[in-house]
Amino acid sequence: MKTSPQRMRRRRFVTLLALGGGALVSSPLSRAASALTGPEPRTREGRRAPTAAVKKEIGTQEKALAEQLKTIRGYELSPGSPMAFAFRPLKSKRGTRR
Amino acid sequence: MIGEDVLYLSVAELAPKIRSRKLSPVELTEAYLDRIGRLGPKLNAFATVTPDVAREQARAAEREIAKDRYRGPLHGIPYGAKDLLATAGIKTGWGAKATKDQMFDKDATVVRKLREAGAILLGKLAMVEFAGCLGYRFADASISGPGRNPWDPERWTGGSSSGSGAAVASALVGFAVGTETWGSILCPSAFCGITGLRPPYGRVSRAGGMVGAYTFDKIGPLARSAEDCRLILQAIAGPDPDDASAADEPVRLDGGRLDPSRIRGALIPLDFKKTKGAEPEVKSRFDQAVADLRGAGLTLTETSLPEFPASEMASVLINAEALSTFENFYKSGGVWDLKDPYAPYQQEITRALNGADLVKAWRMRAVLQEKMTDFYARYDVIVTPNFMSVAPSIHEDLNKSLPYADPVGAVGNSCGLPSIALPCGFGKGGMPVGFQIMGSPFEESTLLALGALYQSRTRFHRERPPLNA
Repeated sequence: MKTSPQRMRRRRFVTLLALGGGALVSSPLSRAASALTGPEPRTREGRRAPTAAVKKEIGTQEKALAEQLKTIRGYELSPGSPMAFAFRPLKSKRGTRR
Repeated sequence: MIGEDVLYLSVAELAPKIRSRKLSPVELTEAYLDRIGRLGPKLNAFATVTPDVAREQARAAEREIAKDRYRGPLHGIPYGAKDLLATAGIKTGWGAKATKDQMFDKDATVVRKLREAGAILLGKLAMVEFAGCLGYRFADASISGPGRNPWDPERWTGGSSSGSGAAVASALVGFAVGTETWGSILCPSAFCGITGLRPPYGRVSRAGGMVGAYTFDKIGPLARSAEDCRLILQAIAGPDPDDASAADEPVRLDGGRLDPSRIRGALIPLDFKKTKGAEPEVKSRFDQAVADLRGAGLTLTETSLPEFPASEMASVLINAEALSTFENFYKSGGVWDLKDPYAPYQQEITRALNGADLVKAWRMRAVLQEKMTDFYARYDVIVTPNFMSVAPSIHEDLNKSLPYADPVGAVGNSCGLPSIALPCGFGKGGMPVGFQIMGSPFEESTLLALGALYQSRTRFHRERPPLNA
């Protein structure tokens, strides 16, 4: 879907907040940040050592990712293929001095 | 006391009874709460039940309707919200131990819109932890336990909107609101025999919803019929200043009659013979659904999706976005409280993914969008199976019980395409079977109309599970 320049101007980058120790919610909940109970910090020693079965599964998932990456790296984008995003610098909110 | 027959009515059927005061929202709410008390725990359907809120909202609805201040078809209808939608003063646990007690001071936009439409919040519906965005291998990857299917509690509801599927199928709610990053509305709809709508990306504001993979997440209804999905979507769709991704595309959901002969349908038949885990009974039900649609006047031309590695691309993008979303849980160690034993290792597993890969995947996504734009210049809708097998056991490794890929889901979710899940019969073990109709962006009104047409000629969406309530 093409995005019109008019719409692009109206769009603004949504501010995502890392709430406490938590993940992300959309911006309007920023006021709730203090209400969020984040997870307790853990030491590195707090990690569970992977069992043999878990190690095996990690290997399986790594192989699956390797296959995905092989496909992506092997995919040929045609010349002139569009970039993923349209970057635009943000204008100063103060306006330009003359 | 209101009986099961009434609790299984659709929103479209309940609404006129409420409006004409033949049915009391207070009594309806009490009946649902009573049923939730008896069945909810057996199905692990709810994360939190909110009887006080529900009773207060029901009394308010009843007062307003008595004064002829009827707000519309959701006024006085009790519903449940997936537990990743923020609700002021009510826990929003995201299905995970690390966040089980978190509270927000403001409702998600979708919850606010439903409150303004007069709907009654019965509670927060159980879900897979973090909506499954860090991966999961077992049905019990939720603080609420495995989602138990009303058609057979030893089988899974599907995920990640597990409670939404169970609660609608067992008439614990009038309707539910769930979310989909990849499959989380369509999967429980298929496994539980209900109707679910994945709206196009941006149709429903995500403000106040947990972010899983930001460019994939959608919010949508799970309900008893396509007509109900239309009524619910009408209430929750639209632009929102609190969500920059919420589109200002006009919402055209008038429910008018559709001339199916003017719709150009693409039939994408998946290969059941060569696909491991695919069940012939599901294919047989899908074939019958196709015949029924053709009988209703829809033209369907067999074709295939554009050649494209959509699954690989979507997997990489969702993986990267989710790892960014939940980064703080890796830093704090909160991931070690997740039930899925492999989620804590996702950062390590994904080490091989570099920045260039991610940008490449994003550029490929743009190519796929162009390909699908071309595809939808030739066709209006895609008709294709939903899941290729019925709901698996809650005890099985999901990678083994659901071993097949989901190429249509990969394309649909990567391109933000709407899709409606419709029940179309029963397969192995008497479990529900469904199919889907997928459309182009912001053309969900066609899907809803086609769904309503199909359901006017079939009764699968009316079937009830054999529950001992």
